[in-house]
Amino acid sequence: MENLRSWAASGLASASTAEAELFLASHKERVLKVCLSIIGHRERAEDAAQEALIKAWINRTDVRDDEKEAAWVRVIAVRQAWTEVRRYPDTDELSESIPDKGSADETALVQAALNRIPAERRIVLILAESEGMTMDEIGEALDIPSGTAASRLYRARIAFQTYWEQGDK
Amino acid sequence: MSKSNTRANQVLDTYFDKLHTEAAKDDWAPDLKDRVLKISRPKRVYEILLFSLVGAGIIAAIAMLTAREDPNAPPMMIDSPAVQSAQSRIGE
Repeated sequence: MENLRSWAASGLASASTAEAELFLASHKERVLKVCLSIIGHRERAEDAAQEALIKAWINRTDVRDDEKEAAWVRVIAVRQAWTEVRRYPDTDELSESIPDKGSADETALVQAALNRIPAERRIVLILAESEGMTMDEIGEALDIPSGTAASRLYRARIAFQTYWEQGDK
Repeated sequence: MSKSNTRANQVLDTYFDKLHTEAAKDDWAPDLKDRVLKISRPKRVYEILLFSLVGAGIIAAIAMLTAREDPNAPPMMIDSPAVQSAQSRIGE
C-alpha cells in the first residue's frame, strides 16, 4: 500500500512539474509585460503577474483550445493588473507632478503624461499601443462594449498628445 | 495625423519597447513554479477522489437496478390468503 501511494505521488508530481514548467515558460514573460505596461511599476507588476499566472494555472482546464490559451491568459493578466491599478488609484508617484524635460528622462516624462490620463482611458491606450489589442479584445478583457473602448482610446490619444506636448515644452 | 501626434506615437512605442525589454531582462519570481505545484497537487488528489466517488455511485446504482430486474426473483404473491382476505374486506 505504501509503495502504491509513493508511486502515485511521484507520478502526479512529475506530470505536474513538466506541465507547470511548460505553462510558465509559455506565459510568464508575456504576462509580466502586460502587467508592467498597465501598472508601470516593476514590483507591483511582478506581484500582479504572479497572481494572474496562479489564477490561470488553477483554471487552465477551462480552455480546451490550446491556440486560445495565450489570449485567455492575457485577459486574466489584464484584469489582474487593472484590479491592482484600481486598488491603489492615488499611489502613482509621477502623477502628482510633471518632471521638467531637462531633469527627467523620456521614460519618466511618458509615465507622467500617461498618469494624467484618467485610468479607464489610459488602460485602453496601453492595451492598444503596448499589446496591439483590437477594440473587441479590449472590450472583452475590460468587460465593456467595443464602441466604448474605441471612444476611450480616441480620447486617451488626444489627452496623451496634449500632456506630452505640455511636458515637451 | 499631425507631426506632433506622430511624435507622441513614436514616444509611446519607444516607451513600451523599453518596458518590454526590461520585463524580459531577468528571471523574476524563481519560486513561482513551486507555488504553482503546491496548488496543483491537492487539486489533482481531490479530482481523483471525486471521480472515484462518482464511479462508485454509478456502479452501485447499476447493481441496484439489475437486482430489481432479476428474472429468478419469486413472483409477487397476489393470490395469497392475506391478499384475498383484504380483497374480501374491501368488497364488504
